[in-house]
Amino acid sequence: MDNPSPSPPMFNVQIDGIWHQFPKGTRVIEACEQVGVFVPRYCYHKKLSSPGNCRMCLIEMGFPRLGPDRKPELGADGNPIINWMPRPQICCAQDVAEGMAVRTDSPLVKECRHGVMEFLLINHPLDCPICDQAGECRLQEFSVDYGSSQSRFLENKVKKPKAVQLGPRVTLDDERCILCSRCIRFCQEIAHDDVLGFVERGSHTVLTAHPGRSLDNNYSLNTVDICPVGALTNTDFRFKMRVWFLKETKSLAPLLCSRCGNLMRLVGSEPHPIEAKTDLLTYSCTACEDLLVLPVQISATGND
Amino acid sequence: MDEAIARYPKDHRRSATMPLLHLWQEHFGFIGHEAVFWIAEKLGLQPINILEVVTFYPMFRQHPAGKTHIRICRTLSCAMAGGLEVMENLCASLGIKRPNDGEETNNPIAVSADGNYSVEFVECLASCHTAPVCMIGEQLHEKVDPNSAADFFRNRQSVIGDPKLAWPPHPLEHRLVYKNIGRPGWTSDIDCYLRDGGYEQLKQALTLSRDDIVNKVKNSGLRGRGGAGFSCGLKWSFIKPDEKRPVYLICNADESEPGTFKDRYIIHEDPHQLLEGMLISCYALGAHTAYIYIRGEFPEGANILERAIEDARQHNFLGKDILGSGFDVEFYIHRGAGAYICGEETGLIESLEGKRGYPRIKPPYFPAVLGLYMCPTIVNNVETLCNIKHIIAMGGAEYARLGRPNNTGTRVLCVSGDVQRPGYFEVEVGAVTMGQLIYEMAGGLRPGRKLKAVIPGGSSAKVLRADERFKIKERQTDGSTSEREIAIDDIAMDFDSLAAAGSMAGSGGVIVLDDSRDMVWALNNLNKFYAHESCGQCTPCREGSLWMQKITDRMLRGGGVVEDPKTLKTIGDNIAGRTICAFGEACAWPTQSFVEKFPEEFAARARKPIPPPLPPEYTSEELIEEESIPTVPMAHDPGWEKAGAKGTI
Repeated sequence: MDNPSPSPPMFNVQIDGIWHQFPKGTRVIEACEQVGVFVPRYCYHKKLSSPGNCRMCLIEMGFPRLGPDRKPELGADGNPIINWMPRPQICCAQDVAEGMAVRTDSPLVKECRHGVMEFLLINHPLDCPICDQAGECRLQEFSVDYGSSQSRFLENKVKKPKAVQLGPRVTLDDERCILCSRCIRFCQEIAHDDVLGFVERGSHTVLTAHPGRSLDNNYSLNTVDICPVGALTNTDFRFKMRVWFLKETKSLAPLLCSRCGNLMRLVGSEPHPIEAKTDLLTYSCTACEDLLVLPVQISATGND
Repeated sequence: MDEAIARYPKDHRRSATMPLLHLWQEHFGFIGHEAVFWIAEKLGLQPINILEVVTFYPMFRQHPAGKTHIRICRTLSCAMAGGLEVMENLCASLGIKRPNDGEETNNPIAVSADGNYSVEFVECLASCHTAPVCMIGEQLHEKVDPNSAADFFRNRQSVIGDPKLAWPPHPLEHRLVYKNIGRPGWTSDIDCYLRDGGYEQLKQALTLSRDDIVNKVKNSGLRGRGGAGFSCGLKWSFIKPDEKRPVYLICNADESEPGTFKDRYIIHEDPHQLLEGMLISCYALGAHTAYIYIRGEFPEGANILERAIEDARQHNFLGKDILGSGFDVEFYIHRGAGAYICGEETGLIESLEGKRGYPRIKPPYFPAVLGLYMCPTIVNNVETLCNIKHIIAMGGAEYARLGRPNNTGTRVLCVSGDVQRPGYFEVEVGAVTMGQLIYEMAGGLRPGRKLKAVIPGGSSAKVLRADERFKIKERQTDGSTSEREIAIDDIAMDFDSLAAAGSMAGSGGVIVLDDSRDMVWALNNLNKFYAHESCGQCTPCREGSLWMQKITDRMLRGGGVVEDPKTLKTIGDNIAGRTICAFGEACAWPTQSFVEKFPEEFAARARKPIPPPLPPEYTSEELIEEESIPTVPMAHDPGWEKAGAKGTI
């Protein structure tokens, strides 16, 4: 390594028939997004590790067929012939590789997404009318794209705990939870406060905190933010307002603007949703009479 | 307890979670809150980490059991032999009230009023040929008579039936790994093993180079005996000879595939053969630490192995500088706690690391690259490791002459279900056909019964129907292939033939069903197994396995609707191939194949045009108690009026 190049090597990747170049180390799901191909996902979050458990991002993947000389064989159009893997692969845990080809809109991929959507909804309470997440819920969004209009599920749904107070700011509805583990990974990897976990097994798996421990760290409201469904909800905002009636305002210092409006809630924004760690918790403080207290409170509790 | 912690690397004390939980439960009877806090503190973990593990493994109890705890197997072979009646009769005589079938409860244990007895249904106890079986405390009881079960438990008499069902090998058998199983005068201690030329192959192997051994195993063509049939030599060659990180060998003794009970006998009767195979493998792989992951339902097996390890250490076969070769190696036992998914190699590794047995995604977590503690790890089945000893003894090429090309060696077939003489038979791979196995070796079906179906490789394998015709492609000696159509009796019991017949050789557990069996009932039994054992990590398997069970439950209750067979089939299609691990296929294949091959039985149970009404999910009282409905007036009135024309407040 005498002359390391400043930029990482680029790989040629075929996405839905078009060849693109991506630097080494790019996740396939990110690569797709960069070229405008959105792959639905629940468990994947770019700031967290990839457990690959929701199976929503299944795509078809293939690599160039190699000839006897270990070089890719070229087809009539001059492009490599792709050997497609027989099984769909998840694209949230794999990095791009040279010559990789993915198909995100094939019939098989659509079938996979239909299948996963159906599975996710069979035990979901479908209580969207009273759910705080309604309007910004991934289940709703992907249902429009990949859901079916009729349920084939004729059985009783699995019963799980409702309205569990995980901590002072977060309320959990276990029946709505799709067990994507984003909140658990957030607590482990970002907040370094390992309080959440899954208990029980199989379809009866339940998200919970250990009895006696509560999700009370300063970053806890981020779990509400990254929850793709209505399982984790902001206790203060619960049942306050349909989210589509809210007016959204971008702000760097929410506390300052909180006086001039009627602040309902705070959410972290792209591109660094998880890094907005402390500010989310200050919503509940805006009810305080004396704003001068607040900066003190933040510096005392909210540090990275 | 400290001794249990010391068995794992210093940086990975978390691995000691399960051993500590076992110790706690043995001492206190169940695992309460104090246990969770105490163990978490001891290992430097959060209580939730421990609680996650306790609730994942059914053998860990959070509630006290009776003084005598009885586990009764409810999986297919035992259920066919009357395991369910055993439970019924037992509960009736002990006055135990169990929750009704289908009722959800998170405590599967039912205790008698006086607290003396408790019962629990468990999944396959890996003794399917002596069905129905149960475990009383830590003791396995075989061939329990359903009708006298009650008396049997009450009087606490000695074991019914012969604990060792030993018989001389059948003439069609070729005993290699099972040479000593059931042999008159054979014991599991080291002296007996040494008298029989034990550990000679280890001495021989230590004179060879590592590459030589790996090449021998490659030449032998040995394929894994755990279920997937992956080439053992190829797996081993993934370990780089100059690996800097520690290399681990794990012996997968988590035998829990319904219909399979081969590893049980190796562990219980010939543990030193396994140890010798493992020692040779460790030497070949450069692994200085090996773990034996033995399923929790084999407490006696774990004790036997502990003793065998101690004896081997006394003889310097194990420990520092073994037999003066300069090679150090240490073996440890790690007990599971009743999770089928921990037989999946990455699930096993997670479990060994002290976590829930969630299989890892591959890529990137191929065990040979990122295995136990993110180090290169080889996971092999008990029978596979035993074969290593014989490969060293015979030489790779000689071993490869056994069996058929690409299906070399011998393997143990476990026959259970509706045959006259169920049991284990070690044969050269492919040397016997299904017909020979069922009718000659296993004594055929009961008088007056006809064969209906065979599950040829553990419950996950696709079922074969007795009157089916199979198109098998055969490679001739001149290299050409020819196709011929054969009946079920003529299928050779090897990896490739069974794959060609649309099923798999799997773990070698053959379950035979005769014409008295209801296939919907049989599938329901397997579906219950898979719904119970699904780890719940990824969506299709978690949701699909329980859904399939609920559908077959309803069909059995008489509420099957016309669409049910089609729904079952599509659920299977939506699971298979789309999950993190092979459990997806394992739970989808039975459903897919049962529905496809016995359409008339499923159609007969699915006649209703509309579904029956569901029992109510919530009572009205529960709804009122629900705290999710706020009682304080809302600060803002959500609604259009308030929102105004601009859509803002």
